[in-house]
This record gives sequence, C-alpha cells and structure tokens, in this order.
Amino acid sequence: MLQLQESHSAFHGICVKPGIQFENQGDDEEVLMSLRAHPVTLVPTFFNTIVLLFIIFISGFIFGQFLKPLQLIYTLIFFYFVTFIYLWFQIVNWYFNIGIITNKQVVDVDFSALSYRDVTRTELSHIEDITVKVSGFLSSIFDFGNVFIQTAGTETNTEFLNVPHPARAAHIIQDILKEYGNTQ
Amino acid sequence: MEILSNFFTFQKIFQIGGIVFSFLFIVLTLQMYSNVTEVGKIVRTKRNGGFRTISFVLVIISIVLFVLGFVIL
Repeated sequence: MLQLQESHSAFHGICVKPGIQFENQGDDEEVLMSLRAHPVTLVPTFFNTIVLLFIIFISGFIFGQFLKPLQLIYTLIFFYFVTFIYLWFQIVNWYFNIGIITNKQVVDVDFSALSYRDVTRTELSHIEDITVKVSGFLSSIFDFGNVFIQTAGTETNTEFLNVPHPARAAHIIQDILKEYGNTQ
Repeated sequence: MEILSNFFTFQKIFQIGGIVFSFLFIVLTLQMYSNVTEVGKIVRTKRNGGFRTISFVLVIISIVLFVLGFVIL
C-alpha cells in the first residue's frame, strides 16, 4: 500500500496530497500530487518589474516638463498600474499552470491569463514512460527541470515544465503508477 | 491644415492615447478576471478566492483610471 505523507515544498511547486479538487473529479478519486513550475522561474519577472518601476520613476522627471501636474500624476499612476498588471499576469499564469496526479489520471492544466486554457487528461493505465530532463546552469543549482509523461498510441503526451525536484516528482509518479496504474 | 495641426498637438495625442490605453486595460483586466474565474472552476484550491478578488479589484481600478482619464487628461 502506497503511503504518501502530506508535504508542500518550493512554495507549493511540488505538493504531495495538496488538498485541492478539480472539475469532473470522481467520487473515489484522490489528488495525490500537484506540480507547478519552480518559483525561481518568476525571478526574471520580478527583475523586469523592478526595472520598469525604475524607468517610470525616471521618466516622471523627463515628462514632467511637458505635462500639467495632474496629468503627470495620472500618467505615473497609470504606468505603475500597468507594471503591477504585468507582474500579476505572470503570478496568475504560474499559479494556475498546474499538473495534478490522482489515483486514476494525470491532469495537466495549461493556462494563460489572457488568451487560453487547456486541460489534458491521461489515465494512469495509458502511461508508458516517465522521463526527466534537467538542463542548464540555473536548473542544476536550484534543482528544477522537465518531467515528460509519454502515453501509448496517439494520445497527447503530458509535460510538466520547470518543476522543482523533478527526480523526486518522477519517483512519486512511478510509485503511484505501480500502485494504481493497472487497476483501471 | 489648421484643424489638423490643432488636432495633432502633444496634449491632444496624450489625451487620446491615455483614454484609448486605459480602455484597453479594462478589456485586458476583464479578460483576466473571466479566465481566472473559469480556471478556478477547473482547479479548486484554497487560494482561488484571493486570486479572483485581486483580479476583480484590478478591473475596478482600471475602470476608475478610465473615468479619471476623461476628467484629468
């Protein structure tokens, strides 16, 4: 019997028994693991935000010569708001791009705050192989990488990109497969 | 020609640009709010409510900025 302890690590990047639910979840279906990208993948976004805030601050002095005081304040608030929206979009995209592994299936939710959402489901019994790929300097330092789940035939393969501790994630998925994979 | 030169002053371009962009941001934030609400139905987590609330506040702020754009610009 597979014993999984509840755990949340890497800012909820990899959670065992995360306590979440999803659409069309079966009555006897239990969410065993959830995967998100490593939070370090958000670092460029935070860096861009700081740079944008700095540029807006500096442009306030430049455009201040051409604008009335109220117009300048409005423009600055507007651009600070735009910068916050940019940051928020990236955080929302990170949070809702999630992979869910249950005792019956693997659900991959691809989400973009602006344009699309795509949900891919794969039954555990259709999974043939799990591959882990870690490449790059940052990936090695912070231990994040891609987990590819290959399925039989023409079904769509599932991929979880930049997940923290990919080897551990693949190991847990394999344990889940051993326990529940042939019971469909 | 005089009408055109009056129209294309820095102030006019600034006013029209400000109003157009602030309107676009209403559309953008509404789209985000709608997507966050929809994905919240697909994946139900403890923080969904927080994400939806902040997205809604951003929609309200963008509407306020649009209205203020008419008054200030």
